[in-house]
Amino acid sequence: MYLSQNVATQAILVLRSGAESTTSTYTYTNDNARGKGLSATQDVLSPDSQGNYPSCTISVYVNSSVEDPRSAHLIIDSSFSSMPVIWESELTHEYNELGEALAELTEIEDSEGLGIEQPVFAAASSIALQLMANSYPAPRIFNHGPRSVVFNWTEGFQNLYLTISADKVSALMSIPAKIQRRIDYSMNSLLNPALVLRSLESASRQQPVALISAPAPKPSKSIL
Amino acid sequence: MNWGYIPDGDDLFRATIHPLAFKSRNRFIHERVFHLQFKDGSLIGSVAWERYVPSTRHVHDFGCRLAFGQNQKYRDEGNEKYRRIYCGSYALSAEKIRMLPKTEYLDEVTAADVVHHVEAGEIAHADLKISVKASHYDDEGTKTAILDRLWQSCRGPIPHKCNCDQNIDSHPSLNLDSPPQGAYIDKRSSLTRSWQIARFLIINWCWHTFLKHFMGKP
Repeated sequence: MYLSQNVATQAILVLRSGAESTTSTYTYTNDNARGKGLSATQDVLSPDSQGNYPSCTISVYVNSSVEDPRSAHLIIDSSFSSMPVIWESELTHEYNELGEALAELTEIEDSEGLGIEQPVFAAASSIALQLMANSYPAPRIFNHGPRSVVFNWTEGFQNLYLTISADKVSALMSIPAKIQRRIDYSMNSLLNPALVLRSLESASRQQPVALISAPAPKPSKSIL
Repeated sequence: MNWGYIPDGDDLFRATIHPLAFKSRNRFIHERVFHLQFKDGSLIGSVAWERYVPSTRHVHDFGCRLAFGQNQKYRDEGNEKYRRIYCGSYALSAEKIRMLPKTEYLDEVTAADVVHHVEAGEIAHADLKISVKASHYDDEGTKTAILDRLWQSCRGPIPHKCNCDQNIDSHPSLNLDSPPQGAYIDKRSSLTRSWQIARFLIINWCWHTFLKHFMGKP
């Protein structure tokens, strides 16, 4: 399912359970509603001492204009007992390594495209910071010339590439048989790279992505 | 008959050189197996044509000469720290390259071909040329997409250690990845392979005789 960029960058909630993952995309009616929705999610997603999430029910409030929140929320039933956890310290460590690798690329002096230009380093660092702030897994990085750097995530045979040049970002999702999706963004229009990547992931898996706008549907309706 | 035309079914071999296809700590980067550079609106790369490297021994000889030549150049410039190490090769068919313009989401690729082009005295050398028109896609993103497609078409690896690199403890050829198409298997019959090797030996003898007598090269 294709998501236009302006919708995809508004808000996406990703729920994972073991190898399966499901994604729902919401458009919020106002900032207040968005705040409530995300805070509710964050409270429930706290892991136990073993690093696993307890089985739980998550309530996401999508419309704060309704007096009683219980009549205005969607109930998402999902088990998180086997959900893998990336600790914040682990994520920070991975992104520190990414930063070091990026710095190394700027320090290489050669004429065969092994290093990258300074504006590319600045753009890639900015995107890496935003990804880390959104707890997106750290990518593997490489470059194929001085004018860009590529972030890459692999899951099975599926590859997700983010090619970052000084002023543009190109997203590519592929499997061995074909290219599944390509989208280009200007650096200015890419407000939240993590949300865009998550929307690409879910769309390429052809999972249902529910777009909901106010007014909210009746409570207790499962959207997953 | 077009002697320079590379048939669709012929294999092409891409040599993997350390550190060009690697990053720090000898980690292999398969997207850097093909070293493509923009020139006059096209992406240009190099491969070796099976007709002139008819066995894996010849493929590796080509790769070792390639790394040796690059090292010789660095030695001449006084930059011996830039040592190149041939690690092995990957194979893909000419047909896979020519199919690139038909790939979904690669509309900006107008043509892709591989053309026999003797270079630096290497009779097996062929140019990989991918024509790219201006589009709403960023050139750098297009390059990533093409490198991804080329890797997905590869078979191998066919790892190798050149004689001059035998003393390297952790040889980077140990880190080569297997591409999605699987291992390289020579599907030619033994009769075909024998004929192609004999043909190559005759052509190669003529080629070196020509170089020696008319170009003054050994």
